[in-house]
Amino acid sequence: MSKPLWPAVSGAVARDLQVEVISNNLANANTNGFKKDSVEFKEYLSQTEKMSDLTVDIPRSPIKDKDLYPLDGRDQSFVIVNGTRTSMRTGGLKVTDNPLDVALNGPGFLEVATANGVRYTKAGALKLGADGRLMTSEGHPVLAKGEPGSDPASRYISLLGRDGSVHINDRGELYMNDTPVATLAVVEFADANLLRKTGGLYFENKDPGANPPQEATATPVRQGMLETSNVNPVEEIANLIRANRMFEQDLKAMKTVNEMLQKEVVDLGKL
Amino acid sequence: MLKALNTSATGLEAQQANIDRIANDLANVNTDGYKRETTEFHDLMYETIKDPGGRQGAATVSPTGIQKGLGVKVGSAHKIFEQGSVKMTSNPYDLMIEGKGFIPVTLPNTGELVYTRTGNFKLDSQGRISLSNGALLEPPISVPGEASSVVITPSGEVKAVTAQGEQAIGQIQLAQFINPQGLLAVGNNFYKSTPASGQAQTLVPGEGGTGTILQGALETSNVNVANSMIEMIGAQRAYEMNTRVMSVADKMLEATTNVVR
Repeated sequence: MSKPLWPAVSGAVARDLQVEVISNNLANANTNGFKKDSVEFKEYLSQTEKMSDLTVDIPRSPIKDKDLYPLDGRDQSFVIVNGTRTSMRTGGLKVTDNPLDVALNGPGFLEVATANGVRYTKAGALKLGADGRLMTSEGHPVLAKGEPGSDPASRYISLLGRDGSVHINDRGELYMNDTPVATLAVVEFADANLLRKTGGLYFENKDPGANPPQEATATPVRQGMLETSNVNPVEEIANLIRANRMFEQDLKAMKTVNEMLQKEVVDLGKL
Repeated sequence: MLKALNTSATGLEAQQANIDRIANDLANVNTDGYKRETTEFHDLMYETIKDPGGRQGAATVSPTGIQKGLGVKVGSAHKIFEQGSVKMTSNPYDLMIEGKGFIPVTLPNTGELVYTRTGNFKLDSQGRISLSNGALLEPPISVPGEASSVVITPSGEVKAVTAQGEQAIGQIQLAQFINPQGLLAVGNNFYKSTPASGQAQTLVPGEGGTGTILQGALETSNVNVANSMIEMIGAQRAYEMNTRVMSVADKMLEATTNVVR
């Protein structure tokens, strides 16, 4: 009798995770370079494996109606969260007129060197360090294009001792007073969904062998602009309302099961 | 749900910081030499339940992982040193910098060296060129009492005009920084150098990227009122959305508690 309780519980747990993901999206609705996450659910049939070899003629237990009409476990299907997918859709472009702001208008990422290895980011609000090095606002050096496998430390971009105006063209080539300085390393991935978020607007490539960074071909660099968050507040609020209602329905199912159990225990005893 | 409550709280905090910054910008819309600020947000850590690309079994790789973000933080709030527009004042001691430099001054009490973009100088009781709060131009320049007028050239030469003709009395210097966004704003339109800004390079106006000096003019605040208003609307709406998430998370918690009653 308590079995129908668990599908409802699984639903409530899945909705809970969805609300947490939505709350993170909305908290980052104004974060430039942020990519939203969405939750994917999947049906999980707990008894599929058990029911698939239903060829035994002699039942070992009293026959129930569901033995006559094999349900393949569909009466006991659970919902589980299959994954969170990061939408890599480009957000809006916002004009800032700051020469060190760059927006990547496509699927590409900037390469950044951190203490934990190379990370990738869409947040192009670049800064100058006291040593003249071009870096992200978290203080990690932005890398220039280089040979594959070369040491990131050899690819730092330094503007020290160069005065004047910075110009970055759509191929990411950085000029200081018409003198070429470096080319920003803009890379694309065959499957950007394999990247893992690490916070601070960085992405980590866990398996460079299977999903190597490739030279960008479809990502023009726009100077003086920033890419805004790709969170669509209308969509998020609608998902939030739906998740809330579905959660309430799951709880209602749990409540009903609870009442039925109560009837079994209390009312049957009165007979 | 408790996590969603905390996550939306980080959103509220970030938007609060954003509104505070916009309020300060708008309050200084008429402050000569004021530089507007910008607030940058970064996402916080992620809780990884399942790694994207992780092995799920023989020859099966999960195409997506499960990651829960924990909210947002203010990543950086810094000044934008965009040139403000020119306001002609015809006051001979009003100096405007057309370029990226800063005027070095020493504070009256501590003698500390600070930098400013606001050049509304006056003469103090001893004839020294100083700001209204007593900060002296560095190096100090005194104007002789018999001078009928003072001429300051674009390259910072200060000349006193007396009955005997023009006489050079000093040279104004400008400081420039590798990373002006790393300067520490200490109020009264003053900035202090920090390890992030780098050491000040003191140059004659016109050298390097310091820019030239314009006498009888002031640089107005570079706050753009229309932009600030739009940012304010955005921040307010984002704040409201986060409160909505908070109330939904609260409702869900309440409903959960009420299942068993």
